[in-house]
Amino acid sequence: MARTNAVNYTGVNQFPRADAATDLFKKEDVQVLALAVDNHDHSSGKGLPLPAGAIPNGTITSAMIADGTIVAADIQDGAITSAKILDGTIATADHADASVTNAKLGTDTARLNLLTNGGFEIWQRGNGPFTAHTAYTADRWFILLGSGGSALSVSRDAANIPSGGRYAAALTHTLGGSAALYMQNAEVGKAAFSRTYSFSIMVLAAAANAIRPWIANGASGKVYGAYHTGNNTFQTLTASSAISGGFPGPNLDMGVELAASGTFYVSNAMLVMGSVAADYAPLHPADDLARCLRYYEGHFGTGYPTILGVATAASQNIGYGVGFAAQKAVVPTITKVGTWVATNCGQPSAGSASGSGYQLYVASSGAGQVQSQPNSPSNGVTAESNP
Amino acid sequence: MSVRPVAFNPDGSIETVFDEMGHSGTIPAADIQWSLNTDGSPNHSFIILNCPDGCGASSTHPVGGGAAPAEVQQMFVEKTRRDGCACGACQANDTSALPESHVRLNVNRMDGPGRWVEASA
Repeated sequence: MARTNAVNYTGVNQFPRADAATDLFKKEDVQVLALAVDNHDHSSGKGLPLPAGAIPNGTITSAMIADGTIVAADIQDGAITSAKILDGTIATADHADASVTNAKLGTDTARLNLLTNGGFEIWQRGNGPFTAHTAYTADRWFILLGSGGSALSVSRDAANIPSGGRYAAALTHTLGGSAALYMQNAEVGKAAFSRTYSFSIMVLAAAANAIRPWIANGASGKVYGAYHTGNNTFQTLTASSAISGGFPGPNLDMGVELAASGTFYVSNAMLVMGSVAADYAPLHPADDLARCLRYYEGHFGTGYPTILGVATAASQNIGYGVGFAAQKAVVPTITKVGTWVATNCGQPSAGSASGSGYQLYVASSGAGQVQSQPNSPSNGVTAESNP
Repeated sequence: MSVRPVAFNPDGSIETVFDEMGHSGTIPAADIQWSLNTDGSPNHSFIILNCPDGCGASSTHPVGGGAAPAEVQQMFVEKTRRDGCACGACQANDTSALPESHVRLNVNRMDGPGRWVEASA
């Protein structure tokens, strides 16, 4: 055999190695070996590199890692949890553009309300009580009675209201053979198809499992939310629905189901796109009213509208065109309310209407001036358009 | 709301309600009248109902349905079957599908496709 040099040590540390009994032994060999051992640090030329298995698990501490040396590739994908991120440190720039989805929104993120009169602030038809099946109450909110003795009386209420509002709807319900509904049929247009909507409404109930929210689910029926717990405070109840195929039209139904007799109060309803319901966000009053006028408009007041003209004989029709403040959703029903003053004519009636206005006319009783108008603030004309 | 039909009787009369006033009552078939154009001719697109309570209210309902689509459209179908159409397209006591088709056509003309909801007549 022959003397060889160590392969894992170089330079002054490379000691010779004799591996046979007959090899020449030199004291310098030991001296070089001692130097190599003294310099041994696993760096290049000073011994074997340190393998991972030579380091016991859990022994490398933060102090052993130079600051600023951990790079992204050193971190396993999906390994950093929320607990590792200091609260309040994620900045807008940390989010990729268009990456925050609806499901990540909080309920207090203000969003566009698709309902009309979601706050129950507008009662153009009066304060009630309204009791008939399919009767409208607060603007756009109507009654659907259940079967067999079901009864529901709806009135405007200013006493039992959520904070910040003026009115709620008081629902006094008698359970019949099936639950009554109090609901809105919202125009949402083509957007309804294959979209997810969330409905929320504030409800006060004194009994548990008596009232719950629901939203239509296309052709397959309704999706219900949780019942009010009956603690006699306002709770925000929610229901969400992914509209399925076969949805019959551009309107979407939602409301509350009354599953027990009692008196309930509802207000502050929201309908938003997406799977997360939204806390109530009121519209500007002008916008709130403008939406309502699309469906119902009243022209009331002493002397307005006035039909005035001159006939040359009896049975001549004298008409008067009246424009709406807001274009109607569909051609409306025109109702002349009350008995009007009528001079040299009969009572007026609406001959025709369109989405933008209507025509009132009277038939003359004889030659001469013809005039008719309401003579009290409670008389006038209403236009009602329910798509 | 309006003076609106809520139920239909075999003799052609209708049960009505006027929600705002809390009025209700029966309107005989003979009192379910087309509205009149200013020249005095009947208009098959509108029907006038006077409140049976006698309060003076009268509602002019469009064939599209206006305030109460299902019930008003049914009222137009039943009147057209019974009395014929004001335009002459249907004759009185026509039990064929023609009156309903004619009313449906007028609904589509007035409010567009998708407005037709009447299905019980």
